[in-house]
Amino acid sequence: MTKRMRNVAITGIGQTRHRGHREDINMVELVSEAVEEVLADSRIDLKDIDCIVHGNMELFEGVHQPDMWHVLGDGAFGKAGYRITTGGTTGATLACTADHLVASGMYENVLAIGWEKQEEGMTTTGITNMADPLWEREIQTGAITGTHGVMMMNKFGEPANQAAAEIRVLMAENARKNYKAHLRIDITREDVLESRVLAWPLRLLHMCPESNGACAMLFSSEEQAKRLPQKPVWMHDHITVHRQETFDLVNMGDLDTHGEAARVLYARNGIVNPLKQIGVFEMYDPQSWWALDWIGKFLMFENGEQIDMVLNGDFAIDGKFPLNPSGGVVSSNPIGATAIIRVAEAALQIRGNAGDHQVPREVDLALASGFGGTFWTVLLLLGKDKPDK
Amino acid sequence: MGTKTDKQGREIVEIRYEMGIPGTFATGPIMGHMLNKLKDKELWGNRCGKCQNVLFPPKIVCPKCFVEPTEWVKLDDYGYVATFDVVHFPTVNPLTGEMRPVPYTTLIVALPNGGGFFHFCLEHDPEKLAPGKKVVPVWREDRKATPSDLEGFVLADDQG
Repeated sequence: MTKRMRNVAITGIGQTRHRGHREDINMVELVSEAVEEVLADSRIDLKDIDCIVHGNMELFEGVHQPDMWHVLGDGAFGKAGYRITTGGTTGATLACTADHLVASGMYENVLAIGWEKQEEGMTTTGITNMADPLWEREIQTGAITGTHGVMMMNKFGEPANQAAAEIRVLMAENARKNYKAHLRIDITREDVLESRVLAWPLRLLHMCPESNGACAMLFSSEEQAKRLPQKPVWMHDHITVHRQETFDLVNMGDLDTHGEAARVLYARNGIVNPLKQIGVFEMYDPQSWWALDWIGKFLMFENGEQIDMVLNGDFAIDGKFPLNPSGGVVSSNPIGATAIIRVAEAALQIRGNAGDHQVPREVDLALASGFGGTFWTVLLLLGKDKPDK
Repeated sequence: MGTKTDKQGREIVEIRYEMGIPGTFATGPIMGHMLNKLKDKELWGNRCGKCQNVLFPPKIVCPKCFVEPTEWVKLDDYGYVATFDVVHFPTVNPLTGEMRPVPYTTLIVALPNGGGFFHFCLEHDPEKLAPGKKVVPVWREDRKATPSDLEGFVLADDQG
């Protein structure tokens, strides 16, 4: 692991029920739903929180500095505050930031809040605005892309097509066990393969929804974790990798930010066999074709071994390597919250109180990943036990 | 703006908005030179003196070697499909605010002497497109030194 000034624990988790429509409340009220839940979960008094880290995608709702507006919903009055907006990875970066702020000794209890109210703006327009305006912006399709699907189809043929559909079916099965998930649909492989084409071979049911939701997590020092009642989940390590401007477009294999993140994180944490050592992985899966490709990247497969594993059911909640028991991003996607939900769900699995989507085994180590529009990976490792100093 | 009532009889009031932000982006001399050359139906990249790779769009430093490119290079007037997206989901062109007609196709053009770039493909049949197929540019009549001076690429076979 990397050098750490002191240990940091996740001591509280709160989430809204993620939904396609929340016109009954405004953004401030949405954020407060997650904050109220994290306060109840951690049983901390708001006065004991030193700092609030707040994040979403400003271009989605078109509100700049929403952290200023949200003070009455998130409890930031009189406290230190930071605002994070790193695109799709925002939520993961929130968790990394809160971890650093506590580990540094600067603060004892830091509340990280990620949120998005996507029905209030234009998501794809927001995403395309992130592209360089001198050449690529006009050509950008946002997150609606089938390029990885095209590559996988060329390399592995029909089994890849079947596996991309099957992994979506599994996510729906998991989401039906998670009452907070947005899309809790009952679908078959045929439904996925017959849904309309968005960008061949990407189909509607492969793609994540636009959701409204928020997620808040409390990060505390070891001393505070002893005082707070929840079973602490320890931050072991995290890494951020991105290379938008430097990769070779033609050789997409060059864009292996996931693989690079995994290699470095595993090496410095003694993980030689992730399939055995990691108990659960909450992976940022914006669409099922990317999911299928990325499982291979994170698990260091070179020959598409994940395709057979998907078709064998190895990634089910009770399978060999549980993947996204929450239902993943294809089931719930309030973007500024999406990546912190991955961290929260991984932590719930370690705590053992994820509810109906709890994996039926003891989880010692869990992975959570974030992904952003500029090919940006954040990978976090959480543990049941304190990391070795 | 409108008001309605939800299932519990509560008032639901929403404010409708539309955001238009006019703006101007400075291109800088390197991107500017390339964009200006589009008016002559020419694609110009720059070459890294260290790795000899041709960069398009041209860059201020080579992303592999982190040194300044040494010379301008006129690209060949063809390339190859690296990968493509036939998009059926209507999206907004963020530079104009107009919806794009669907389907439209984006592709990565692999250049004969290395590197590649994003643009549009005017062929929308995924059965006809495949990595490795040769493509040639189609230029607009009215060119203004913007990326859309190049309307897109078509399969070289279709050009006879």
